[in-house]
Amino acid sequence: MIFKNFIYILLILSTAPGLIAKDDLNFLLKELKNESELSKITKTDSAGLITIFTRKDLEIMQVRTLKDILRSTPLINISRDESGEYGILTPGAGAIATSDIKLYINNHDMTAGYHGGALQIWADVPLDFVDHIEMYRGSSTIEFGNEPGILVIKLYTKSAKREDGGKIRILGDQKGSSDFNAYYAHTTKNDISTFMFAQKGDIVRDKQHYDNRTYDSDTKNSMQYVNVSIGDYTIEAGRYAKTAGAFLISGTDTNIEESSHLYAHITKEFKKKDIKVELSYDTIDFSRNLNTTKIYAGAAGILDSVDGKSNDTTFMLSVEKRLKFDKHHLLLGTFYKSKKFHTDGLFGSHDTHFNNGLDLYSVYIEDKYSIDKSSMLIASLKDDRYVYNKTIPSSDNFTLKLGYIKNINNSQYKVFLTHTYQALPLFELYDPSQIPFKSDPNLKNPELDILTSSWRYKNKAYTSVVELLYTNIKNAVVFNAPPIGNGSYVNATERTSLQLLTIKQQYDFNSENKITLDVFGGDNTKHYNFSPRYGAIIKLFNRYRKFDIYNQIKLLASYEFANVNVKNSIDYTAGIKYHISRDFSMGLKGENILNRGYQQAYKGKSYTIPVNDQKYWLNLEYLF
Amino acid sequence: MKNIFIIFLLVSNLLASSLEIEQKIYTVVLFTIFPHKSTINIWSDDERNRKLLSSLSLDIKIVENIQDADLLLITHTYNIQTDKMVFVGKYSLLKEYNKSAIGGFYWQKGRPNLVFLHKNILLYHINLPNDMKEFEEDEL
Repeated sequence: MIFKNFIYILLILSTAPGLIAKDDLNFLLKELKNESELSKITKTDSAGLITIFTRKDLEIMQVRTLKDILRSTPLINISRDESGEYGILTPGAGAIATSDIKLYINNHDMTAGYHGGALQIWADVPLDFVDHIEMYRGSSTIEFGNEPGILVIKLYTKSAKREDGGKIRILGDQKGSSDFNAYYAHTTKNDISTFMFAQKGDIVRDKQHYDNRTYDSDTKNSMQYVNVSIGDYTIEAGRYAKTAGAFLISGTDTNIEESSHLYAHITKEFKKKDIKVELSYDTIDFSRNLNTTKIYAGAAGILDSVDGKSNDTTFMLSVEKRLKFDKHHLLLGTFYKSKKFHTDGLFGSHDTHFNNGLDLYSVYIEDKYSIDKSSMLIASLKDDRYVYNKTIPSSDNFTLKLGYIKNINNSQYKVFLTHTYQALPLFELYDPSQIPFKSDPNLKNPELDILTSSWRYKNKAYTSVVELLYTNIKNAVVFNAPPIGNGSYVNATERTSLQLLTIKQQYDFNSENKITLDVFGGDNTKHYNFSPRYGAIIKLFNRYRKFDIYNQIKLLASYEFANVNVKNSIDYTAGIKYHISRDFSMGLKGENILNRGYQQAYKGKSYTIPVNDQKYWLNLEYLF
Repeated sequence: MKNIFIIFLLVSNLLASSLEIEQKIYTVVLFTIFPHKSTINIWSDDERNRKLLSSLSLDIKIVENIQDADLLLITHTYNIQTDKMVFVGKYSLLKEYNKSAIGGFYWQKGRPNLVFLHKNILLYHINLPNDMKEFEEDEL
């Protein structure tokens, strides 16, 4: 009774400002949103070294596409190749093999069979349908049940049950770009949840004028995505299409490359038995029509024109079972994939029609053994059996991972040892009629030995992380470029290794304001300096009253490529967003504000070209 | 003493887990609705909410029969014919029970929302403190 009276007195007092009522409830609602971040549920500590961009981070950063996030991630240096397609460079070294980077939308692997990667199409995927992003480095991907990759980017879509409404976002920049997207989510009385998203963009890039030519990389893109959840079934489908100027491989006229990726993914969960069955299908079309160009095309050398089309398809069926007994958490899985592609077209004077494909059978097992409440051992084994079309010998490729995670007071220590491989993209596979590309029929998947380790300390406001990654590669695939080489893909005879180090410091002033500093660097056995070896990123996230404020500075060291010295870079990004009401906001964001951002050198060019333009985006968002 | 400590947490801006935060919000809501009631009888169609309510420092009795309840906390069920006071856990249910629901606490637009419906609060003679008027909506 005394207690009840006490509460009553408190409630009477609560009419005075600052006690239980508005401010505290608003604070509690904000804290609930922060503490209920979906990343707290989805992140997999045992999968490797993790970087997470929460929904709140994405909102404050006013991100538009995945490229904005890649630009903000330590160790990752986004590059643009001659045809305008994006890749990732690691400090000091060249581009990571496309098949080493795995992009997922929820559980769906976006890899294109032909390219072996996903960024060629999906680097500029809009992010308004995404709740949060997780990146895993040094991962074997066994946890994610797919082909191997040492950088896994997972985009988790928004939850229909948490949205139950919609949003419209309109953006425009000073160069005339426009970007529009909208989503809507609804859950019916029968508990059928639907999330729908659509986007359309018309992005204007700086024209580059060199060699009496204008290099154009303007892009038009569109995306549609739907996710329906009915009982234990989840059905997802998405399509992303873009047409882009062919950048440095353009001729005197603007030339266009077109690509589109359509996929569907069905998941059935038998929750009582802890079994998951997935079925998916992808089809990707790519066409390139170039004239008066100067393009390297495999064994055909430098061509004046290319008019080609390709299509690749991937079908996948997978089954996973989870078991828990004693201190063991077991994952047993198997999947089958069928990949096919064909290309038709004119490569200069070569009239080419070729196709290829493979069947992949995979089985894997992972055991997470809890030694005690603070430490865990992880052991994983996977066999991927590739059965190729044509006359390529079938091969078994093993992935083995051993890991140890230890928590001591405020510290966490992780170490992983992984033996894995790079899956060859379809265009590198041997085909007797393969003109202009040539491959050795005995071309092997490169093998990788990876050591990753991290130490993390966190107290209430301060976080410090040190991460080390060492990779040794055997049988790396290299391209024998004409005129010295014969335009074929072969395995390198020498092993190479790469070491990367990241040191992160973070201070949380409170749950809405933080500052982070990442310092990173890398080296390789050959001491290549093909990309900046060292760099740092400072990020400042602030929420003050009705304002979201974001500042980011990325520093990258100078480097030398193709006898061109590229000066160091300072890429400053800043944004401010004003919440006019809880549902309506207006933002302004500047990218590469100092116009001193990262520049790239290209073979055969005596000049460097900025990868990112100086841009100012105006941004309107309305929730309904 | 333990109860007093929880109330202290309620009015202090300390970080807590999502479950603890939900407990605090429901505590404030139930205090506001039933400022003088010694035992609050609640019926709920959600197992998690039943456990959450039972863990509150208030004197709450979870009842099995709707007729015995002072408040129905509805998260899943549509078409319940009742003259009892209703509080909902889903936006679509607030529309469903707009004649009897005094409010709701649910996720919508990617954030947790707390809403009290003005006309139904008057109907049940509930007085919101001035500083909680911000959560009052005239209509959906």
